[in-house]
Amino acid sequence: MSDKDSIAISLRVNGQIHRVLAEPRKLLSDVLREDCALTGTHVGCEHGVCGACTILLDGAPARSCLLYAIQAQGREITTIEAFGADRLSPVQQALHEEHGLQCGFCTPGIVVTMEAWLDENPNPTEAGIREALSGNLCRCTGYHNIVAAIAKAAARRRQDPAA
Amino acid sequence: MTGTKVIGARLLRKEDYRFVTGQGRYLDDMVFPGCLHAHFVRSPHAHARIAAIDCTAALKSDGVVAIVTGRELAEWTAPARMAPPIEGLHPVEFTTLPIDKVRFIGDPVACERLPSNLVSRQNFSAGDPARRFSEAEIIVEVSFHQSRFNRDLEKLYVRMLVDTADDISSGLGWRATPERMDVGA
Repeated sequence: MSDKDSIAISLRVNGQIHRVLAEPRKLLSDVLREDCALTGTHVGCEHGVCGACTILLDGAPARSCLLYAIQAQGREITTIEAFGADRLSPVQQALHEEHGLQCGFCTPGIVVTMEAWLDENPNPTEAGIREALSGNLCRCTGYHNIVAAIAKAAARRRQDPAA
Repeated sequence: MTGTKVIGARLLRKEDYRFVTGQGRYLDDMVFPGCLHAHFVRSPHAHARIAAIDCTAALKSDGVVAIVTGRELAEWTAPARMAPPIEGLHPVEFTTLPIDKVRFIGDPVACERLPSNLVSRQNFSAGDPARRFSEAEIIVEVSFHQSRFNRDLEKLYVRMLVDTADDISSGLGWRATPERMDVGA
C-alpha cells in the first residue's frame, strides 16, 4: 500500500458516524466538505491562519485544515452544522442582530470558536473578546459589530445558561 | 403623524440565517459535472523577461488536462488596452497572460487545468526550452498540492525560466506633472 491509496476512515461528526474512503494525506477540512457533505466548514487559507475551517475536536476549537482526517478518528468532531438546528445559538442570534456578518464566509468559524470560548470565559472584557477573535479573519465587517455581538451573546448566556 | 417609524428604522438582514448556520452556498460548495479547476503559475519577480516555459513534466501528471501559456492564449483572446485620456499616463496594452515579460510579482505565467475527464492533452511550450534552461540565470519550479484529485505529485510541476530585466524603462506607467496652483486672493 502506498500513501496515495485510499483507506477506510471512520469519523464521528455531530454525533453521527461517517465512514469514508480517503487518502491518508487528505485534510479533515476536505473530508468534511467533500466526503461528509458538510460544507458549512469553510476553507479560506489552508494553513491555519484564517480560522474559517474551525471545528471542535473533543469540544476544543481546532483548525480542520491542519489535521488529516485520519488523525480525527476516535475523536468527537463538532461542526457548524451542530449549531442552531432548533434555534440559533446566542452567538448566531447576536451576530444577526448586531450586523456581525456580511458575506458570511468567516461566520461559521467565528460561531464555533466563540461558543466554545464563551464556555470557558463567561464574563469577557472587550479586550478579551478582541484577543479571542484574533484567529478569525473577516474581510467584510471590520470586527466592530462582531465584538458587539460576542459581548451581547455573553450577556445572554449568563441570563439563560440553557441557551 | 403617529405610528411606526419607517424612515431610519433599523432593518435586520433576511439572509443571515443560512450564513450563521453554515447553510450558505458558495461556489466551492457546489459540484458541477465535468468542472475543471485552474492553477496559475506566478512570477516571483517584479520585472523580468520570460525566456522559456517548459510544461512537459507537468503535462505527464495524472489529471492534468492542459497547460496554457500566454503564447497560446494570444491566439484566442485579444489584448486589453488601457489608455484613458489622462495627460502623462502611459498607455499600456497587455496580453491575457504575459508572453515574454512579467511585470509584477504574482503576474501569472501559465494556467494549468484539471482534472482528467477531458479527452486530449495538448503539449505546449515556448521557445527552445532545452537550450534556454541550460543557459538559465534563474529557474523557478512550482509544485502544486491539490488534495481532491488523485495526482502523481512528484511529477506535477511547471518550470519557468526568467532572465533579469533588460529594459526597466518600459516599466513606466505614470509620469506626474505637478504644477503650481495660485490660490492667492
